[in-house]
Amino acid sequence: MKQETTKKFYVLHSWIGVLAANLMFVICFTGAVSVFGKDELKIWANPIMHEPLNVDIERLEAVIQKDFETLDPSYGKEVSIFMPGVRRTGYVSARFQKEWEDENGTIQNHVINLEYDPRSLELVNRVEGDRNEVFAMDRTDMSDFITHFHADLHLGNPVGLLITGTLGLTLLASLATGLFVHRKILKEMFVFRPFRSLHLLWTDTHKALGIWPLLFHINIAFTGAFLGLAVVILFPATAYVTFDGDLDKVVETILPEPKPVLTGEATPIEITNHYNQVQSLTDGDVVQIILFAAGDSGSEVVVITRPDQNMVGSFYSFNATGDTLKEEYTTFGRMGGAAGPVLETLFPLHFGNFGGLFVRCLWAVLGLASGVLALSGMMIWIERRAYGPVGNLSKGQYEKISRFSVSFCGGMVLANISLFYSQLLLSVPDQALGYWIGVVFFATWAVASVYGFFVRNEYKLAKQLFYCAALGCAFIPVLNGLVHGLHVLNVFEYKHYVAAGVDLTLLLCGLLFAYLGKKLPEERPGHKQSTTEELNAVLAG
Amino acid sequence: MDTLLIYGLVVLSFIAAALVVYHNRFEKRNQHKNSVIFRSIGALIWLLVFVLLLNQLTFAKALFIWIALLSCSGFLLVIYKGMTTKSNRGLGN
Repeated sequence: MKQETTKKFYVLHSWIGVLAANLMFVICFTGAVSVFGKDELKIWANPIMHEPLNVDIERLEAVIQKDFETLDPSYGKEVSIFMPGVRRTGYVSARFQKEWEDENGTIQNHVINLEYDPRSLELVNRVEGDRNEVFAMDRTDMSDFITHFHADLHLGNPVGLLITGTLGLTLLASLATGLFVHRKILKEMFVFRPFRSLHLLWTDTHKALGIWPLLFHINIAFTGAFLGLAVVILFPATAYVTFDGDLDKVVETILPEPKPVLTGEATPIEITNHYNQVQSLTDGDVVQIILFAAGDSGSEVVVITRPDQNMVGSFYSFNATGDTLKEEYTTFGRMGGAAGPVLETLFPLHFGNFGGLFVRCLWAVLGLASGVLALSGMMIWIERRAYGPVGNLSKGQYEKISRFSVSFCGGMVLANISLFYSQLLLSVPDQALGYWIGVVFFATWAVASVYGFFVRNEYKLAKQLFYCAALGCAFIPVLNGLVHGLHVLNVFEYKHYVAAGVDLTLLLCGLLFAYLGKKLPEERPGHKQSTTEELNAVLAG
Repeated sequence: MDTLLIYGLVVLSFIAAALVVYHNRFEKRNQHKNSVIFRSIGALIWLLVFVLLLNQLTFAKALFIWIALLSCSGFLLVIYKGMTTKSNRGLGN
């Protein structure tokens, strides 16, 4: 390829990167934390889940039947029973839903949600309202907050999803242009010279972190773009082209709901037989049981499980008594063709939740690599302009951009640490916890970002942020011990292994931050001005 | 997957990565043949890791985990090698 073309790709690569680098770091870092969100962090945040929750299913069946009898039979339209576990909360809940058509022909709904203690099965909470109101009153914790932040930055649909989806596309474009620019890919992947010069440190980091996990970056970028843009653009586009703009029809076609044939013959709610059968068919834990037309002998019961040996969980459809297994399928499995399996693997491939803790650790390390890749690209851009022959702004202005990047990204790390403190110290009802966690999170991030403008030296700033993060991480296990009385030293007594593991990991992260802070120089090391020849050599790979 | 097998696979991956990443020690001494042997053994161990994964998991799962394991061990070893190589020190800052 001609050098002129390479230069054009280089310019494109650097501008795409520089415009999105800081936000990319934020998304990748929170993604690396979110990987543990629905399992380890969920357990850490909910002491009720520290010990395994084994619900007595026969007793639960009796309790739900007793409460169902107190309601109008129309609430049997759909009864969803959520088992306690890492995908939701530590409580068992039963959601009774009825639907009717109002005078305008609009379908209305009303939901009654009952929450039970998982061990005693005593009723602990009851909420009711329409579906959205009940959904808004769900318990939230720090793990829910961070996974939602990663998905849409808490800006919702469509703005947040559009931003994260576009960032996925941006990463794909950066990877494609980067491959054109760095042509000596095999040679560059083995080179890392951290102590020769700052410029080499950043360029070697950028190349090593870009080339080795290239397939992972492509995976994250593609699945991230799809998950972000599917709801906002792809499904509406499909509806517009194929279903005259009717979105509900798209959902009905892709994810058809069971339509039980009612007999009018009353029958008590049964779930024990279904539950036991599914447990004998798969190793995946049961997460939800849905009864369509509950209370009628023609009702249909669907049991949903977590993945076992497959990438995704399964749905098992039974008749009312659980004698006959009608069908076993997956979320998109009934679409037919290649689309179903492809669509199904996108979510687990993005979050790495298909192979236990081991795979989640791999995904977290590689996700952090994606974040550092973006940040190192930004630093190369600043270095070339502040201390090299290119750039239109003054050195001071580039240093300001550098300080902003450091404080913006470092602030995100501190904001993530603040989540643990919010979870431990905020004394508000579970339903309001998410809101206050958000207040603390965004305030920490904003303060750290603004603080960057008051420190003149970006190295000093980074050092201070590292020390802050180190202190923040190291104190969490102590605080957890003080608040809940659970710490690493009494792990064998109370068997809170996962929570102790999280505490220990935070302690190690604290030590790592302290080490990095100590290693970082007080100010930018002396450098010689890069010459045009040197920069061209870098450009040529 | 068995915990012991997971640790075994991680260790094997890092051994393979070490063989591949440290091959240029031989290149510097003009021992090209040794370098090729090192890299080949490393690549074979990586293949062995894939076969072991395939033995336990479905093809898709084994492939995705293998790619992640290969990437992770590779770049971590390159960074470790860079941090511990003496010739990288003392030049400039």
